[in-house]
Amino acid sequence: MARLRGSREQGPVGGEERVVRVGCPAHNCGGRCLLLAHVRDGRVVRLDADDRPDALAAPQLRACVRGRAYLRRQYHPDRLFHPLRRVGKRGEGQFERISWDEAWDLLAAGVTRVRERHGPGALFVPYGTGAYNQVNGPATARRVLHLSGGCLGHWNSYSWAAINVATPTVWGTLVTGNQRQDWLNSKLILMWGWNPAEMRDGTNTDFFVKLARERGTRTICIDPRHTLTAQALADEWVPIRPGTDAALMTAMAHVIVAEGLYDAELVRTHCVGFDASQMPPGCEDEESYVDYLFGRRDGVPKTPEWAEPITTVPRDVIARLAREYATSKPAVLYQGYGMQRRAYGEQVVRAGCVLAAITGNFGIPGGWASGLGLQAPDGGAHWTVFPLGDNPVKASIPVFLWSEAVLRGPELTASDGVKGAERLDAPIRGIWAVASNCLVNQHANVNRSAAILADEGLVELLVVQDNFLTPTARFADLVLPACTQWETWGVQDGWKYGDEVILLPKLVDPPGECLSDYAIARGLARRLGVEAAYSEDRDERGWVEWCLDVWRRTRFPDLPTLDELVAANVGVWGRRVERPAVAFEDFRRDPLAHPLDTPSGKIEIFSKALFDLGRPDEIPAVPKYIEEWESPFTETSRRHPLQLIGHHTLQRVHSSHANNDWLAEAFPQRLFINPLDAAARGLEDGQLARVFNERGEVLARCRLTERIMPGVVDLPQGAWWLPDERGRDRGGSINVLTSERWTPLAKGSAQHTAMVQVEKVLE
Amino acid sequence: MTRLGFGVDTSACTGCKACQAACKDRNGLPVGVLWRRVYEISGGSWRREGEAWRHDVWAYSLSVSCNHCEEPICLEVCPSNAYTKRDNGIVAHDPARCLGCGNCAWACPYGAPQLDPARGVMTKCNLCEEELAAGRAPACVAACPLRVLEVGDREELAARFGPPDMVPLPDPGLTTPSLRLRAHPHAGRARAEGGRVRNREEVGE
Amino acid sequence: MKSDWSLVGFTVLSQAAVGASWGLAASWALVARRAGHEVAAAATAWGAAVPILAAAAIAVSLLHLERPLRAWRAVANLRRSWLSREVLAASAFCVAAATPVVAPTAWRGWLLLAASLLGAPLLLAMARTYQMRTVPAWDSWATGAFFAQSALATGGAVTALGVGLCSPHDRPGAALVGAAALGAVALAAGPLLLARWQRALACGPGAARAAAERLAHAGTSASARWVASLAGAALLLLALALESPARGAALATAAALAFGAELAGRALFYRARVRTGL
Repeated sequence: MARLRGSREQGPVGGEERVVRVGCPAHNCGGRCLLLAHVRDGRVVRLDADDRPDALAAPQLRACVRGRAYLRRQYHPDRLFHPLRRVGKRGEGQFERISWDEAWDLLAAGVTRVRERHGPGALFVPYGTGAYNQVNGPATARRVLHLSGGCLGHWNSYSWAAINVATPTVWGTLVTGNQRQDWLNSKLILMWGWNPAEMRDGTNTDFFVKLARERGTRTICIDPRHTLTAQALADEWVPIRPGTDAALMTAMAHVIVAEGLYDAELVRTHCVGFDASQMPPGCEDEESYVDYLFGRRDGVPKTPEWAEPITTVPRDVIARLAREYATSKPAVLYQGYGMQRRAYGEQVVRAGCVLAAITGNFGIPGGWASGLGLQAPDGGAHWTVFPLGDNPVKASIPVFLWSEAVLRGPELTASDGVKGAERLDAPIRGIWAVASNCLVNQHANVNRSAAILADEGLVELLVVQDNFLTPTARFADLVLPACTQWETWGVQDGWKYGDEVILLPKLVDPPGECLSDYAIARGLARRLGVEAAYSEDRDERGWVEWCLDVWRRTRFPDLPTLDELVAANVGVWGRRVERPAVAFEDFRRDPLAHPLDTPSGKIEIFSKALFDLGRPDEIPAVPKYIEEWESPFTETSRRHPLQLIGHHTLQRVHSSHANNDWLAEAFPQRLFINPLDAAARGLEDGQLARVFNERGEVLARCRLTERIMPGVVDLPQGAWWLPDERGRDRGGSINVLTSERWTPLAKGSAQHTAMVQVEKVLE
Repeated sequence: MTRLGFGVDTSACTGCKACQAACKDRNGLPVGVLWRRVYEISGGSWRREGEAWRHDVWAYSLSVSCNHCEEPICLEVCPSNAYTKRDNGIVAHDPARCLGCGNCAWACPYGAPQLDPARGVMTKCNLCEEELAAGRAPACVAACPLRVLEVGDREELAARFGPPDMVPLPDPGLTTPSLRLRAHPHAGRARAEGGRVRNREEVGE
Repeated sequence: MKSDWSLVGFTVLSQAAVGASWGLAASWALVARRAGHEVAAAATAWGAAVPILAAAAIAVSLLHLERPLRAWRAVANLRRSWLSREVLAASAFCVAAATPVVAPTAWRGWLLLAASLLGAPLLLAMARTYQMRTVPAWDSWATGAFFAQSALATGGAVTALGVGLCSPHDRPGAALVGAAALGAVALAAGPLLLARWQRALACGPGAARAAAERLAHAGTSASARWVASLAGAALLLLALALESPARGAALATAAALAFGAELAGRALFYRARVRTGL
């Protein structure tokens, strides 16, 4: 127990005050941090920072502004306190208070009715990352539905759809990342669309970049926005037109190949599809990557001159980037996730992986194979430990296609990404959203989603379980008040870089009639007659112990028991990273003895599996730049000439914290617009602007800043939709403007591909 | 005798405002009262070159609280003697003596004293005296995710950091602040181009 | 730290009190003791206006405080704070100015003279309070000049009104002529000082330039300052040519214009409060 060290013991400190080390209720922010909660008289009164020793091998998990402002969410006056039943129309937000018995009866009756009418595959628990951790959130609801007859499943995520699917097409795995301490060995880090200072991407990720820079690592930020990362952690900022990153990567590859800067020997031994000499069997005459680069089939050499008008990056900068990346060994090309939430998000992922491959930056310290970059050796965090039970319904849909499953469920087949079945048995007719604002606010095209949900002939049962009356909850037939993560027991591991297990001991009792997600689901299990199977006689704390057992078996053999962890009040148990693991070390050394998990066993620059899909225009076998369906190059750009992006602001975690006043004070919701674009519209700093396209209209105050490139506007994602009487959103929700169209391969979110016009509003 | 002050490595400050929120939480500050604030200073321009864009955009953030000056003007102008300069350098404010006249707020070139409208008294950073007494760092310092904010002896900090003269800070000669900065690489541009605070609405102005 | 208007009122009223004490005491000392009883009566009767103005000023100043019940603590930092000294000086002046009102008639002139002498340190403390090194627009010769000019303008007008109402002769006496002339010159000097100050600010450091910028966009107050000052000055002089009761009405209107002009001017002064730094 020597490692269980804490300078402040749990127990009375200065009267009745307890200080408890507790995980930050992170809401899928991209970090997992530790806070010291001061609890007095049944209330959390103060939060302190992680006070454990701060070491490179196990740095403190210091929370960001959102964690530090958490009490404004925890004790927000708008918390839901009682179960509510809808009395007005869907979306009107008119409810009456009911008892829990009534609520569970309604929920059980609704679930049973949908199953009887449409079958269990008509029930759906959507993606949700609000107040969730391993034993809270949507998983608790899925388990009870699985155990009581089943429900439609989903796969993939809103965040990582394209990168999740595209990375293995090159590397055969998602574990393409070295442990972060290894960045200190890099000569160059290309932070490509990557903004750890704001979206975190693992607690301390920005800190590790800072440490690398202190060791002399050069860093370049490639992003349409001059992010907080670009400001503090980059030697250079290269702005790039959104959606054209694959063109820049392709032109860089052209320079690298044309100038012989690639590792020809490694390409020969470790890759397939680079040139005509190594095409997979059956594809000998197809277009290799080099063919594509030099325009041997389409007549268009992918030179910097070709990429300049596409990307707006000057040709000399493109060539320099290529040379720098190819000659600064070892180098990291880290791909952020924003650029893969776009029309052809798969291409940018594959193009980045190929650059890493041909420059030999995989399998070595200080290198980085690109792609999703789950960390070596074991892929890091476990995303779901809590057992979901066996689902009798085998079909699952890409998470982004839920509205399609509502509108035309049985038409959806494998070509739409349905897995586990040839087609869906039924459209979605019952939805139980837990810790999810994805149905309305976070899904694309809010006005469309709202119209779908408002139609009671489509979704017959709509239950929303949350801490607040979110824009999604306003559409619910039944609103269930969930407690926050500090009002029950919970546990989580690190986010992506999961070297820790972080405990969330119950700090305080829930207010009003709030219950934990687990208790609510258990109540339904009781009504449906499956309580014993559901609970296995465990309460929330019992399931935390269960999770610890899983981790002890799989990742952390020395993990203490829950009682030991609680007694020591450490909050977190971590593994020190003294010698950071490097992905693909064995493969690099001996590719024949340690083949990749790809069909060829090698790095698939040309993917025969993709070739066999027979959709070369949208899913080419080698990574290509493909012009987006909505872009400055398309016809609609005349009406809607500005590209819209929505960065992950520190004001919120997606849509959680949207009502947090301290965070709104720190980072008010604004439309960020370049002074050149503002001047063309007569817009001045702080004025109200109308942002619109054919899908909707948002009114937002603008901030003039050179930190967003001309031609692009930025409306940070996650603000709550607040339509006025004319249907114009006054909350600043970007998804009023985004499109529900999905990426071709991963069937994932392409929400960042959107064009808008901005006009001044006379007040 | 140690004279305390803050040191900030502005070259690696992301402007994330964890310090600001930690301060508010530690001291129970309402919306509108920011003992620690983060200023965004940015500028530069864009130039079209054919189809390409060239730019020289720059930005940095500056986290500022009370600087516990060696010549605290708050203490000079306060009519009710609510301010005290302690031996350890901390400039402390006693709300029980405060009239809420606001003279200190008019005078302080760092905007440190701020009115708590509910209590009708001025309030300001006390360098987390209680935390220091318990051997812990002030809330803002302990919070900093990038570890760029420090507290320490002003002379010792002076050996590792530069002077507190970055835009938009006032002439340090006015109050001799106990603040030392490692300058952001763009500090010179801000000075040369008359860099402006771009997030005024976020710093209580 | 409520609205600046209470301090605009405080400074203008207390400076008027100081100016009136100077005008009335001078009238008494230079003219009344030799020339006759009317001016003596005016000086002693209108001497009551001084403590009333001073007390009103102090009362208005309390409106500025968030915690007015703690106002007594405002003299706790005499060692360092000019604001403490200003508060002490204002209180002392008010008390001193009140003594002639309750004193035997024979003493009133001498006591008024004594009180008027306390006006000087009050004006000094006031000017020094505003001459903060972190507010360049105020840390200037102009602050003292404005305050003295304001005292003479409003004080002159009040003195002229008092002397005028108590001197029913058709020919204005020396005291009235002197007070009216002094008031008119001081009033007219106000806008000129303002213009000079604005020009100086425009060449000063950043915060001073920002103050100049603010003043340049203060249309209404600036125009009010000009119009009321010049109209008040003209009316003061015109009153000398009028006969009672028109003269009294003119003097009263002139005094009102003088206060209006100085309040407008002081509002501009506060508008220029741009602190250096953050």
